[in-house]
Amino acid sequence: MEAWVRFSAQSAAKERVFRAAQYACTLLGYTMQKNGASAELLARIKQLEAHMSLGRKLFRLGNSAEALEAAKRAIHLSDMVLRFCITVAHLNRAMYFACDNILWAGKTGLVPHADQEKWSQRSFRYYLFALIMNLSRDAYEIRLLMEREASGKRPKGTENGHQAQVDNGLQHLALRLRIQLRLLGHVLRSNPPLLLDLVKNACDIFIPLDKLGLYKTSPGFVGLCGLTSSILSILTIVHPQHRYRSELLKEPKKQQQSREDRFGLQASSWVGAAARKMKMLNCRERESCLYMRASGFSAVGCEAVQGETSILQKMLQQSIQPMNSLIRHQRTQLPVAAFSC
Amino acid sequence: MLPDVYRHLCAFLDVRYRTEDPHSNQSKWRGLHSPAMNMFIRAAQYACMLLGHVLERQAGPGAARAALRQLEASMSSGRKLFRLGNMVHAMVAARQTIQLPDLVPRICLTASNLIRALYFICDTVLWLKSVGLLPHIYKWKWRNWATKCYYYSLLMNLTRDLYEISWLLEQAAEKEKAKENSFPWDTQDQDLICLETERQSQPFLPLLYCTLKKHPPLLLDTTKNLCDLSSPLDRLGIYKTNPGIIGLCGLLSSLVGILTIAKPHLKLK
Repeated sequence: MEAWVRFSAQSAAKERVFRAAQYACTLLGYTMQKNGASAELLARIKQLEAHMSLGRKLFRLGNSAEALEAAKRAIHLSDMVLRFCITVAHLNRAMYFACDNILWAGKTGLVPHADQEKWSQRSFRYYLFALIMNLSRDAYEIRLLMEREASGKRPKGTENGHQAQVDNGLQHLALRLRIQLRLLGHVLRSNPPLLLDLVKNACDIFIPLDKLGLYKTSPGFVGLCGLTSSILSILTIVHPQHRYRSELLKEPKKQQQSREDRFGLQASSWVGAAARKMKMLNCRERESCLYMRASGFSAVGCEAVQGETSILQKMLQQSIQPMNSLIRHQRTQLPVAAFSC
Repeated sequence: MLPDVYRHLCAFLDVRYRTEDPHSNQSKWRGLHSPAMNMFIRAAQYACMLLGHVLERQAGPGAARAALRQLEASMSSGRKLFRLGNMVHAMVAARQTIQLPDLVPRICLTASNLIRALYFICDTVLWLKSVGLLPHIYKWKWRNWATKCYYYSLLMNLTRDLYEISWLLEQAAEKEKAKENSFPWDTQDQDLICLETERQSQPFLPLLYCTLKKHPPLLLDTTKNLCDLSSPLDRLGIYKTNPGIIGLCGLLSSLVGILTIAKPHLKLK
């Protein structure tokens, strides 16, 4: 019960639940019509749907200015493509909410001569543009992630390409397409929030496409798409870790500090390995001395700055050189050269 | 200019419009916080009621009155829709108040929350009737029960407020007595002692006012409950007033509610 209280305290939560219920009514009405239900039942379902739509419109009265605020904030983003996509998406949403407010005023009788059909079409047009911008943003992010993945792996593709040039141009194309699809699948699987966002926007886009007459589907399909996208957005409210945050706009890691950390940790692990070797050769004194040095290295490594790496190198060489002479017969040389950085 | 006004209003209402990521375009569209929006719409609804009554008195055009009535009805039904899950809120609140340390607030608040849960159940049934899903129920009977539940829960809240006020007055009186007992050590200020004895026979209302001024949450809560009481008193026929008074009282209690949401430290714990 406490979970429901926490959930409904969030602003958009109840609205999403009623949206899901509204589209479920659409789907139910269509299914019942197909199965030959009575006109009275269909009328009742339609009345419920209209009631929920009007109630939701009432509670959305402030969202237009909210979207304008979000657009104003999005102008300061660093990446240009993202800045454009997100700002335009927010502006279109603001216009959609403004048209929605006028529709509400018309339905409640404040503005009785408002042309409901015209304003409804306008609102769906702005909604469509906003969704197109969202999808382009998702596509841009996916493309960048795919490029990052492809450049991270070894260039297997070029080798295959050289081989396939011998065979056939079409096979080469099919192979490339398969590689791209596999890469896409990998990117989407490792980024579930992005996948969720993409599916949600893709489901949502069928609603204005149907209402504007650009791609007519059945009311049942529209209801199903709306229900799916509402459930997915409720999921992102309930589990905030599934909310998508752009990879590009995350803060870059502090490379300098981590390198020093790695340096110190690697040094300590290698010296620790050397100490274990000493133990094997029953040189207890050397072993304890090396363990002390290992722990000292890890402490120093974390605080090391550029100038002190030479000191670290000297310390390592002092401890490793005599060990190398001892264990040379085992052909295990500790990699001192790797410390040249 | 309008977005600026809205921004200041949002900041005032502590709305989290500074979300974690400004670059997100997902549909976690942060509209106004739900309870705040509900209070705004309630204030607008009662303002419509007041305005409608004023226009009626001035014999204004019928179209304006009809439009206001329709607007009020649509706001009321929209709010009823968004009240649908609130019985759970009331049960959770009852579970929390049953753990209060003092006996009288514990009993009063728990009873109030349980009765409020019953009110929300009646409200849900009335909504189902208004939507057409339960056509064969007696609307007046359920509305009567809902009004009675609301009335009793308000009475419980007021009892708790009166208990707190009496406790505070007792504390103030004891403090006065303690101050008075310390004065006999100082024999030079005879006229000051006279002033003290005079203050003891002070009339009740200014003392009450001073006490309440020091404790704004209690004052706000008492005002809200007293204002809310006007509507059920009228509906149950105990103290009939006109829609203008009900509208005014409702507007006042909604404004107090908005203030409590905006400044959480003004909420009575």
